[in-house]
Amino acid sequence: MRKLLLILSLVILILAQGPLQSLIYKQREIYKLLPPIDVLVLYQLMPAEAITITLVGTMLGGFRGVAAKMLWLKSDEYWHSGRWYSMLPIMRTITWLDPSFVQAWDTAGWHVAYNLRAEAKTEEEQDEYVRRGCEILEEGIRWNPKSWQLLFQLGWTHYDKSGNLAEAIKWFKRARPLEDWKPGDLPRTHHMIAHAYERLSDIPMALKTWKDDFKYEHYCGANKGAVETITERYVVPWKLMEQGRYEEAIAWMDKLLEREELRHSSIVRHVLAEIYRRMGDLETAQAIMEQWSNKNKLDAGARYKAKLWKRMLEEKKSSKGGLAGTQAQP
Amino acid sequence: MRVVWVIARNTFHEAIRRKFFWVIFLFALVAIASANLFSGIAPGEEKKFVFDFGLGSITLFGMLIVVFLGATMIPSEVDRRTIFTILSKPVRRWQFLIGKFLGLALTTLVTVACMGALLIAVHSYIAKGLDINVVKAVVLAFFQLLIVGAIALAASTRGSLAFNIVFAVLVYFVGAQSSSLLTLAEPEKHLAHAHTQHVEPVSWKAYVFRGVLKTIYWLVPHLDNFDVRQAIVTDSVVPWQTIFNCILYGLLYCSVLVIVAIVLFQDQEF
Repeated sequence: MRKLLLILSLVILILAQGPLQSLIYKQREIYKLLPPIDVLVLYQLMPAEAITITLVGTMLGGFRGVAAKMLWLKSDEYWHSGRWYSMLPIMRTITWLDPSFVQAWDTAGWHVAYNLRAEAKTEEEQDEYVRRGCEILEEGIRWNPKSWQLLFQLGWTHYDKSGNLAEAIKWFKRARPLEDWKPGDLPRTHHMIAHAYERLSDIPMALKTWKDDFKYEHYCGANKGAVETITERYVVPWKLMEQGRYEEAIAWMDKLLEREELRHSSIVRHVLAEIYRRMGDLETAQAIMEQWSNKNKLDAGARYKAKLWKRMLEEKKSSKGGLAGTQAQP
Repeated sequence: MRVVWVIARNTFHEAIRRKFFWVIFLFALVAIASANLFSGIAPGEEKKFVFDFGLGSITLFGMLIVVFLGATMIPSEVDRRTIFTILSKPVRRWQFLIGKFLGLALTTLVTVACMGALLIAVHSYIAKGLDINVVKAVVLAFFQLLIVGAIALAASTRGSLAFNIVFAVLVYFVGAQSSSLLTLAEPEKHLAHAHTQHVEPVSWKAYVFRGVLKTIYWLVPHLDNFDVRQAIVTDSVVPWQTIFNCILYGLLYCSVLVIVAIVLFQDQEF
């Protein structure tokens, strides 16, 4: 009888454990308390390898962080000896062992999007490396959502390498309200949002962002100069475009292009292409961006737009059986 | 109740007289106190390093202490034949086991309190102030170790010394990674959570494999419930509600293990 009572109480306790564990698991998911295992990486691995990684990680237990720091020193050795491809698995192991190691995420993302991209032979390979670099940074942000460093780095990689300016603005904006600023981080982020709007050819938003910057920095040559320049150069053609007076807006932009100091300006080309696009002449807009991206390899935004619009034109062509009327201008 | 308390007190005194206890305990204290000396390999992250290393020392060395103490508890009494003297007195077997468990819990409490106090002192010195999250982590580490001790004690009612140690250490390793078992058993759920649409069809082998993983997940104690290191090093919040639920889970699991130990011990013949 006593044994039966014991077994009964055992069953009750085991049954009570289930709902409590489910509650704890939910809370751990919400508050990001789950152990640092990347499920996507695990899923891509064979189960045996995944289990090995899991068990080795457990055996290291509280010393994961220490192991990660040791590997970090090792990756530095690889860096100095030029073994760039060997660095990547080490860096991924570091981020797996210690997902809160922001510097490791930052360096891994940058290394893939910049150094390995530079080594790639074809444009497709280059794009693939940039995409993978961005993925690493996004994964790092999932673990460290408050890290200005990672959010800014991802915004910068989109701005500077992938050329997806809308994505760049999204990540820069997420980096903006953080509290863990170092001196200079806030204006730097704010300026980058404004620059991205300029290249995205959203002149009203670029102007607004630069003007908002006055609130953060009472005196800064950059914001003052930018407001003056944008007002002088782009506000008029923008308004003309909005009124549907495209020819006048284009004439204004052509005059700007004749100016010596604007011969190498990216923004003039971006705004001009945007006017053509809104006018419905996507072919000319695409040609402007393609020509400019061939001339200025550093303008990732132009390259991105040229590719995107080219794809749109091809889709349009294949769906309509050819475009009529519009001619690309040199 | 008095009988239980006497056994608990004796167990505690016996534990702190053991040489291996002092070797591991002092080694842990030295490791925690010197954590700051190694923090040079993580420039700018000294606070995080000290916490990570210190809590790692508490759980690892604490685990060794509770496993060795728990695993030797009954076999040593049998070897020295003291168990016959105790059980021939008006002491019931369940009283003996509960007394042993409480003695082990007291030893664990004192050990973790000392190591935890040292970690809090070193961390507060580096962080220039007390971080309540470190206290929370130490409290959770105590309950985690309590479960490990209860496992070792339950095993020691039937198994040999070597078996008890290996069994408790293995359960600790698997239990400390139990949520990863669930991840491996239900990858689609987690992939869906990660906003990924690509899901492969499941083969029958994978289906069986996942079934085994899920069974292990529900059998082992979820020791990673007590690991809040990730949240603390990223300065995230560890809510009191979670701490309370984890403590409740720890107490519940210990109760289950003690009852299992009593059931196993009832029919044990010496």
